[in-house]
Amino acid sequence: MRAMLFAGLAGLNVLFLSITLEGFAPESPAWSGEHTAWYLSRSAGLVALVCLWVGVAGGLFMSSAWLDGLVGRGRLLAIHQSATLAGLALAATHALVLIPDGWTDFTTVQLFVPFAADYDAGLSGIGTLAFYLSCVVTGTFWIRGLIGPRMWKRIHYAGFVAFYAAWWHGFKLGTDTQEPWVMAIYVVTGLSVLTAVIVRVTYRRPARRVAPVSGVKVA
Amino acid sequence: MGTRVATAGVVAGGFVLSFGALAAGMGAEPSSPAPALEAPPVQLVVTQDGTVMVVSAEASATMAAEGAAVVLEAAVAARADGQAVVTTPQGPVMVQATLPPAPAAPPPPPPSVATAPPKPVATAAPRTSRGS
Repeated sequence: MRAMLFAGLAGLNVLFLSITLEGFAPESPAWSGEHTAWYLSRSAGLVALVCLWVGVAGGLFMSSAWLDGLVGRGRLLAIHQSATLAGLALAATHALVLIPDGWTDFTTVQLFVPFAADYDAGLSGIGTLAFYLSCVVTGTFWIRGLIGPRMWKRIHYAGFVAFYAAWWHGFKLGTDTQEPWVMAIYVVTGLSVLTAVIVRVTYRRPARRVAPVSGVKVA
Repeated sequence: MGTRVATAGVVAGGFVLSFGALAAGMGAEPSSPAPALEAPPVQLVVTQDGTVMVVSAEASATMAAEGAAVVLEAAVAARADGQAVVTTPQGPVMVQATLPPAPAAPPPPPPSVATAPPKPVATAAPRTSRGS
């Protein structure tokens, strides 16, 4: 069974790599000076969404204790934080590479001021707001002691809003949404976070077994 | 630490793979945002012979006077609700219909002796003799 699973995964990897290598061929349009930034922006946006998905889902599974026994809390925390930071870096890349790009014609102001873009101001603005909100949510990790755990938790809930805002921005505005594998990313990320939220709300941690302590008198 | 390095590796790998997959999947023509980021301002001009043309706002002003060339070709279709849909190579555009001014009636020529119509000259009718 394990061998079959391994063989299947290896086959998928080979298939995906062969597609990818074709994309890196010198004659690919991605290498023409006019379009390279556009390809970089699209791929960075997609991977940023995946990273934010891993970050959000990791945080949910960590706090719900659903994966206890399978993945340690410390490891989940590391995945949660590093995936979110990587997502923010890629989201910034997604926008910044468009500034010098002559294909899409976005200006710096249009990219960083919400709803200032000529190209679908509403959906572009939602993406900008999602980025800012994600920065705020992530930034509170370092000032948790300053704002207190209750406020930190409230702000952390905004992470769901930021994730789904980014999801909607990509799903509606992305020019690759119709590609089957890109559509699969949107379906899997959107539904799994919803599932994880339901798990987080409904899952009850099993009661810890407390070993009876003998010889100790409780006052 | 190991988990963070592994996560960074997976992210970097995913970025490289998605770049290649997008480049491979899109073929020769990269997908782009909507071509008309902002519809150019155009005007619908009806010429004397009934031709409907969509021209730029700047060109339309001079077109009636000088017969300037059409700068934007467009297809005009009538919808069932009576609205006109103008489609340009950049996509549908909103148009503002501008009818050329009606030709003004020529002013009456100033009175001039040279052009004054000749006064009718009374001519005597030829006499006819009646036979007795």
